[in-house]
Amino acid sequence: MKIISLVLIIFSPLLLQGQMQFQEIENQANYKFGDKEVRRIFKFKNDGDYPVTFNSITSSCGCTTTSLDKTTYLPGEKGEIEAIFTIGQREGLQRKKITVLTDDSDNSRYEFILEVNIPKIAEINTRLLYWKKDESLDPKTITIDFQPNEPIKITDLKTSNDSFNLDMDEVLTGKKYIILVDPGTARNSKNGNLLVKTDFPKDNPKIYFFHLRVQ
Amino acid sequence: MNLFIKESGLICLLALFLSLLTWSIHPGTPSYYKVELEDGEILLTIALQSTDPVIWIDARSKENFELDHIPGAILLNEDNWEYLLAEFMEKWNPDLKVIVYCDSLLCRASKNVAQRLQDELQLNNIYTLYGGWETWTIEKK
Repeated sequence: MKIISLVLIIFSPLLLQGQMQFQEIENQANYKFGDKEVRRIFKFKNDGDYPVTFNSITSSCGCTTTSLDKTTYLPGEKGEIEAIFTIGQREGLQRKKITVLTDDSDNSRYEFILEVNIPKIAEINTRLLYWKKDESLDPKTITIDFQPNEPIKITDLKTSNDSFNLDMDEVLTGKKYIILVDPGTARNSKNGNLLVKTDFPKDNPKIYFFHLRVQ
Repeated sequence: MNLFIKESGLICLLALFLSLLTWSIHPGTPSYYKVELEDGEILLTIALQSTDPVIWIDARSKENFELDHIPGAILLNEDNWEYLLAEFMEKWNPDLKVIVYCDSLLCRASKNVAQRLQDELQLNNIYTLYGGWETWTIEKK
């Protein structure tokens, strides 16, 4: 009997859970083209019988901030952590870990994942056109294939180095463009940037940079 | 007395067993014998011994970069990818070994930036610094 009691004492920390009960630990946020940020709420409740204080909430990325109404929650009290993920110019699947530390001796650490899938506005074959030393100076192409359903216009196209000649073809109206870049015939080392301006999204049109280099 | 010693011993064994079990299955267990590098990761000591010319990319926030950074590093993060990429490419050349770093072991920004450089510019010779800025500040003190 004594053994059983002592074994239970040893195992008991493994059986205990923290007082804070969170509704979910993974939160998938919806994103639509043009969004500047994504906000998600993590709801929790103090299911224990003593107050719990949040000591810190940190994120794996400086792009994600969090806020909490107050730091101490009484037994039975509910609360919310709001996470705001700033999109910036990120693309693809983003998984940001949020770590919460409390003064709860049973379980002081909680981790959450905020997941956002940010689709590319355009599929682009390359951002770098590079003519190596022993390579012929044939023109190279950039293909821009816009993904949103609505048509997108390229409103401006210019290089920082005029010795590169440009020619653009709208292959599929408002959808697919091919830009031909001719480095000229003079075999000298040079470089420049190519700037492509679009009209999408309306409030903050996307700009793409490409690098051109002849070695 | 004998029973007490036996039970104490048994409890100690059980405690040892549980701690070993936790150590072996817990995902956050540190490696005590060797550092396990992910694909493309490089240790600071190896990076500093490299005879190839290196260009450091700081994938942290602009605010952190402005506070301090590895000497000669270039800011390139996904907050302002397009403009920063153009600035980076002005300084890039194919002979350079590119090493990207972010805040610490926990951040993924350096991995994301390295991946985009490979995908969008087809650059190779790109690495991410194991432990990031945190390791640099510890080892350079």
